[in-house]
Amino acid sequence: MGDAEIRILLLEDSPSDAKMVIRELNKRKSAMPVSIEHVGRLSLALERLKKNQFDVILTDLKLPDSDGLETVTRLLERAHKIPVVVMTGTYLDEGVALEAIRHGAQDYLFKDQMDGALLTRVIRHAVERNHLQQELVKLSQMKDEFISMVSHELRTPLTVIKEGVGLVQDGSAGALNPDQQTYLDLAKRSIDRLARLINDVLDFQKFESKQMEIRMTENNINELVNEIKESFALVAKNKGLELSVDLEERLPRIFFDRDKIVQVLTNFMSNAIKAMEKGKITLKTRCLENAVRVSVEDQGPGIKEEDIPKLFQPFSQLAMGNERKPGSTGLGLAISKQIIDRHKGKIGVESVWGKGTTFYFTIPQGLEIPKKKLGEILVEKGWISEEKIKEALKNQEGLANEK
Amino acid sequence: MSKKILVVDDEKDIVSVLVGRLKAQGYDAASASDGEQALKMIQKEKFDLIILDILMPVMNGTELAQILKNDSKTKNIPLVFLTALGTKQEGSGYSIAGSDVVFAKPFDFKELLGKIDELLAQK
Repeated sequence: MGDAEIRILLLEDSPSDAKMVIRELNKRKSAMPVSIEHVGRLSLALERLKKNQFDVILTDLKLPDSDGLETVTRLLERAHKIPVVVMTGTYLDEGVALEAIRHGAQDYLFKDQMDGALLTRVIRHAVERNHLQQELVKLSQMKDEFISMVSHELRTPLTVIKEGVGLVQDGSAGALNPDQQTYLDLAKRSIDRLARLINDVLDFQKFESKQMEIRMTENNINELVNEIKESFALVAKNKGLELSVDLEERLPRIFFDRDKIVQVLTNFMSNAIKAMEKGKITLKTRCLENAVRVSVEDQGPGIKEEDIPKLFQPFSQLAMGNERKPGSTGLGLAISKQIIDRHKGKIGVESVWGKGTTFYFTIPQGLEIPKKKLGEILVEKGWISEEKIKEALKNQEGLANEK
Repeated sequence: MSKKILVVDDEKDIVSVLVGRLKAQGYDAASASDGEQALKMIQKEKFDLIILDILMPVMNGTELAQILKNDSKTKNIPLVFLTALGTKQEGSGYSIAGSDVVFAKPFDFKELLGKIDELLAQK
């Protein structure tokens, strides 16, 4: 950072405490040049943040117009890129200080142990750490953008390949001999696999970057399990596998995103079918204390204990008897885990080597649709425009600042 | 008389395979490479359905859709959007009306065809 001046916003309502901090900082001015702006109220601090640039905010938690963690939250709301260091009275307030860190503060200081050297070091570290944090956020965003751009760019050429092959394959461009048909089928399978992989990567990416929307509605899980069974009936029959369901009749009300849960169960089912040569697959629902458990039990070869922790990691294809599972992208279970995490449920696996595997997930009981803010409902109903709401909020904020 | 479908996409290869596929299904298919060219064609002749890409130069898919929806002569033509952006309305900036559908590339042609048949049967 060199010797560039560090611009400090000091938020402290007690004149004597403020004086002490300024005195201590000035003592160390040769080691760390600073410029200090001092205000005694949160509303004034928020105003300064609007007008001027700062490198760090040094704040008391108890202020005339804000108390405790609210101070940290409201400062970060306005200036989330500026590190906040909180000052509390004595070490007895350490609990509050730690809570402040959980709410986004970079560090804390006790006023009764304040000295120039410590203050300087804490400020330097807060600024530096914050700088690194911002870099990380930026890098992670770049990674997200890169992955999604590459996946998007792959889509158009893949569509052309897929439809071009499709046209030849279905005889639209003239009759085919059996050899030609075989090779085209081969190409088609690989195209479908590539398409699946691209979609999985994008799905995974969307969950990672929190862009994936989950739409919770009240649903009947037993009905859905039956549907899944029906949709796999033909594939199972062709492989000579038996399918059965074992459902608990009385289940509590649960809320979930139907399409996403279908995705999870489809993944469990295709894993089970891929793993088995013969035997039975059972889809089960059970009522737990505060949740509903859904499982898919197979009689396949099972999974070795040491492989289990790897299962839900992205791109971890298990060597099932040293064979890579054809047609799998290695993302199915990782995406399933993201889906169940977003439902605040648990996902897991139980397996006995040589006997079979059970994949399960739970959905907590009565997990309601997150309550919407009044404004969102008004906009959704078309009773008020989004601009109007923003305007109203701005006015409100303005009034609060004027107080 | 076979139904007439217009395919609008700046990716010439996509247009070729789609027109090929539609003709093989017995549809009458025409094509345009951007929204402006499509609009000129739509004003001249009647189409039963339009398949359009969302991201295109000159005039993109959502701009074209908006013009069509604001004209009483064209507002009832079903629209099928194609997008390389992944799912649904993402990045389209145009809220897609109830009767319109979006397919993410690479789409499944059988699914697309099913939807086209359905939309045309509704008319």
